[in-house]
Amino acid sequence: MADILLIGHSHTQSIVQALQARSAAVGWGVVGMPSGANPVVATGEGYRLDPGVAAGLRRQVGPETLCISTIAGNAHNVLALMATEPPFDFMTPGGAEPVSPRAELVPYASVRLSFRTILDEGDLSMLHATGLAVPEMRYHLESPPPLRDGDLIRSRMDQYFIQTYPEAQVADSWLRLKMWRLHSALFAEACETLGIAFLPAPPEAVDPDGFLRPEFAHETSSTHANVAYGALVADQIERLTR
Amino acid sequence: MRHPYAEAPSYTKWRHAVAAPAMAEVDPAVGFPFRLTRQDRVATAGSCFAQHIGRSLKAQGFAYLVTETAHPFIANVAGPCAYEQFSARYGNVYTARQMLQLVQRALGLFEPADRAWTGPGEAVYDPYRPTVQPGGFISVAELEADRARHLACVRRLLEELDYLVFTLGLTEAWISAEDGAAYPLCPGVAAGRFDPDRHLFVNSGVDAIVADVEAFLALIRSVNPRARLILTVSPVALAATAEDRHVLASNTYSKAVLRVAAETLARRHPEEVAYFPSYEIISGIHNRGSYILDDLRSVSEAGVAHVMASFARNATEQGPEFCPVPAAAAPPRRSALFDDLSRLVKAECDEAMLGA
Repeated sequence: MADILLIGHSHTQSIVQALQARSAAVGWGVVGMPSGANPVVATGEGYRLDPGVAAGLRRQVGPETLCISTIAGNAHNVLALMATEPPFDFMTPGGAEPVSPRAELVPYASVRLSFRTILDEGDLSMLHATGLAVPEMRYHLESPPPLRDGDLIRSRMDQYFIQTYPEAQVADSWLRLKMWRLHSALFAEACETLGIAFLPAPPEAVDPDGFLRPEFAHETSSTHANVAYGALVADQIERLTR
Repeated sequence: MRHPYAEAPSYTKWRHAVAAPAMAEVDPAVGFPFRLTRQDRVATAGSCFAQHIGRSLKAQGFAYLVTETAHPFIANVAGPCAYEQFSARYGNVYTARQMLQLVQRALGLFEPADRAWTGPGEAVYDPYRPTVQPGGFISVAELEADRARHLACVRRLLEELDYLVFTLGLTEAWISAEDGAAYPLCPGVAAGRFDPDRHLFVNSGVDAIVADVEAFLALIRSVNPRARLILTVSPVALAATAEDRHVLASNTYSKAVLRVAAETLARRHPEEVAYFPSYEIISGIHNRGSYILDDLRSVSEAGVAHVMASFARNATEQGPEFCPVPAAAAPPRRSALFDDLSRLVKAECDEAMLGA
């Protein structure tokens, strides 16, 4: 049995690669959740993990295992990595981010309700079902923030996508940041309901405005962070075990 | 001995027109003066019954005019966020005074002093459409920005419509003591706080309602001379009365006043205003109450279907042979780009998971 078990999806991998490069003081394990269809089934008592997936997970969990969720984390990119037509924007409760004057202003509550509805039917149902299947799950890791630079994002995208949509623009950086923050807020709310602590992205990886620093950009992905970022997260997790 | 009733058509006689026909055959809209074509742009506003009319018009292939739509990004919650309930996102417009002021505000002729309500919680609500934004607005600035867009959409609606179907809903209303701004709901019911010194109750009579409708129609026609008005009276009963009397008595009074006002307007302005008797179809004794649901207020789908069949027969160019053609489905939320973006992100996730 591993001392620490990461349960989730693709954002796990940068952490794993970082751990492979060091001699870890504690034992690590990883359970990759299915990346295709949502492994959640509707039951009379609500959403639950597919019994086969749940049993596989349970076999990895020992009495002392610290279980950490890296479930999902990219829905904000699916929705808002690229600019919509017409462009939209929204104000936020803190009001820290600027609003594009060229965009259609959508009320924050509507954006939130829309995003919450989508997540409830997908990623949050998975987090909820996994939390019920693995009560030992104590933490959920915030997904990496977006990069500020649209050109850097385009350079890391699959070229087939770029060639298919040569006119498509990467969405306004502040909009992407707001969507990531809203995504994080909705996950944090769900975590609170489940009694899971929400672990924020490592502050060293984030610039003063909240964007992912470019040195932590993934080499081949526009929506993931690199091994250096994973190392910072691994440090965070190891601090939890002390 | 001859008398006027002897030669009168059968629809003028209760026994032939109400008692004898099958329920669905009773049709009080005979002789309706306007004939809508599929090219006519039809807008709706009014109390909640007008929502049924708009939905049916759209389903039947009419050019149902909607100028305020949800951004595609939030199309999945357009309904809960009160988009497309009516032709713009004004929510229920229960009274003629409220409609007059909506038109005035859209044309820049009135700016109520009461700009925003707070509560429940920290949220901010629009006093003139307090239920359109679930959860409210996050700030007065956000509310004002959304309202500016809303009123611009209303103005465009007024300029572009051929027919406005307006359902008169209530005579009772609450207004601001400061400038007479009419609220759709009493402050404190859905949002805001009630203050007896700032919020006054009014129960409009026929003359006031006729004057308000004439005023808003004149304003609409000042920017759109071809605009015509189809009035209906909501068959939905009052949820509550602010008069100190039984709600059933207040409901009867209210519907009577609205019906007389509609009749007065249609007789006074026959080229511009017509009354469509959906109230009679739903509330008439011929259906023995079967068009009203168990809450004794809401209208059944069968009742709405009866109204719209009558509307198609009597108020459209297609006439009795009219065959509804469903409107084209709403455009999907996702474009090809965003479907492919979803696949791109999934592919990036798969590759990242493999450590690529």
